[in-house]
Amino acid sequence: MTFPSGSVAIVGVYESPRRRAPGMHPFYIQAEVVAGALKDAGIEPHEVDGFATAAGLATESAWQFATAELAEYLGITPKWMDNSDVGGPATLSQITHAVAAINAGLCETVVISYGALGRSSLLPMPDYNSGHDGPGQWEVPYGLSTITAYALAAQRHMHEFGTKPEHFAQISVQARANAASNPDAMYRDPITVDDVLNSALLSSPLHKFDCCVVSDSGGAIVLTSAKRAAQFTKQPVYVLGGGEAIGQIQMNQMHDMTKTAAQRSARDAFERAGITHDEVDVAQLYDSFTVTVLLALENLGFVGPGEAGAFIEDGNLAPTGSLPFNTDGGGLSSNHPGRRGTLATIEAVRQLQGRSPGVQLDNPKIALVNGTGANLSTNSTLILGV
Amino acid sequence: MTAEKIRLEPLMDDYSKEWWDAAAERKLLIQRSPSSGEVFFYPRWLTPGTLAERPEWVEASGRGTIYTFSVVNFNANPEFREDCPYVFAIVKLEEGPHMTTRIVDIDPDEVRCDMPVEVDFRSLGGETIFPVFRPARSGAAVEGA
Repeated sequence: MTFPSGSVAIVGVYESPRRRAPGMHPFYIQAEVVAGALKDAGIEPHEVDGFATAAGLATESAWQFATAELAEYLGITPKWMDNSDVGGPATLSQITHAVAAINAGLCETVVISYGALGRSSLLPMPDYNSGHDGPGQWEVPYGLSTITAYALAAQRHMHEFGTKPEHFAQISVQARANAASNPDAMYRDPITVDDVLNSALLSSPLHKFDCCVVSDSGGAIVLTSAKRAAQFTKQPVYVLGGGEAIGQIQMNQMHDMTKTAAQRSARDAFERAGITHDEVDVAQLYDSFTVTVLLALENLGFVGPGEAGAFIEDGNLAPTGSLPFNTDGGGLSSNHPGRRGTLATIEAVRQLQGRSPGVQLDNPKIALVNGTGANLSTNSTLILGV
Repeated sequence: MTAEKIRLEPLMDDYSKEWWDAAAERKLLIQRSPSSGEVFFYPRWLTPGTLAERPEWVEASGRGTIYTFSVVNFNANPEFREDCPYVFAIVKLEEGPHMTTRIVDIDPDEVRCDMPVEVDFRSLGGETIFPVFRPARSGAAVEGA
């Protein structure tokens, strides 16, 4: 059986314009973004029969009951749910699952949401991705943070391929340039490579400006069958392909830190979409850190191993380049409340509909979205088209 | 107000405690599949991949090379804030497996990938004795680097 490419469409999206929301509860943001996406689609809440969320730590119960807590809070009664919170790429994975569910007749109209107070949470949010029991007992107590996990991969990439801190910095500089025209972006003032290299060296070789912003925000996406999507006035954005893959979680299991699970998620997504890399007009790549983007470029197959530094240096990521990326400013400059896959997908949809709040490209037809979760652990790729 | 030092110690179970008890006796253990002879780390209850058997403990030589590292100048977690700067690293043991550790007894600016190192056993500020690595004293090249 082949993937039902183009059988499901995204018909509504909404990204919260909030970036700092102290005093709010994340459910307020979830309610706002679900309302916004449904309004964008022209669909009433009672028509929603499938619901997926990645609420992370922003629930009362821990996250196993996120769909129940939020469906109750929103006042919807879905007959299909997906609570697979796999971190950064959660929304991407949930979209791929929703395509299968809609095609299997389990539901017809799905809302996928995320909202969190990444910045102002009332709940403690420890910065490590596994516990200090079980496998994590041989890693976490040595002092691993998320920044350090990605720094390890950046260091090895520099050692093997001669990649320079300047290459990482250029990713951040381009993201900021894209954010300049996005009125909602958290940071919009241009920065230079020197600004990045002169920012605090948090965990070598990563500087402060190699890291994403931390915001209070969220977003939601509405999907339905392509058949039903034809009824709506807005240009539907079709899910052409999706793929997901699992890497390691403990960094001591990642014996080659230049190779990530993106290789497998992208291979499947491209094969299912039936397109080639040359056909991708715009990429929305998870940018928790600059190195996340650099590794994605190689592992998604846009360039070969060790070639990403030169590719970036040649200006390929700019709006005028061969692969414009993160056109809204991305997580590096615009918005990162956690699980940014939601927002990366929303920006891909806005690009394909000609309504990016950042740098709108000239009539793009195919967008690739890639999400990276935890410590280069979970990975999901979507290929969307109009 | 004086902040009480918080130390994130390994949360051991009865089985993993065998490994930590060995470390306290200055022995670095890895595991081996009895049927294939393949060695691996971190410790598992069943051999990963085949799930066919209980692995056996074997003592590692304690020699290896630095696969990668980061000099940590900032950690938002209060457990590690006072340790900064420290060198967090992944060491490739000469037997093959990678393990997470810290590099000690060296100026952080001098640490390099593929540098030969050898194990030592230290407290990181709490009660647990952790395997850490320092530059190899012999300076001899390590095979399989």
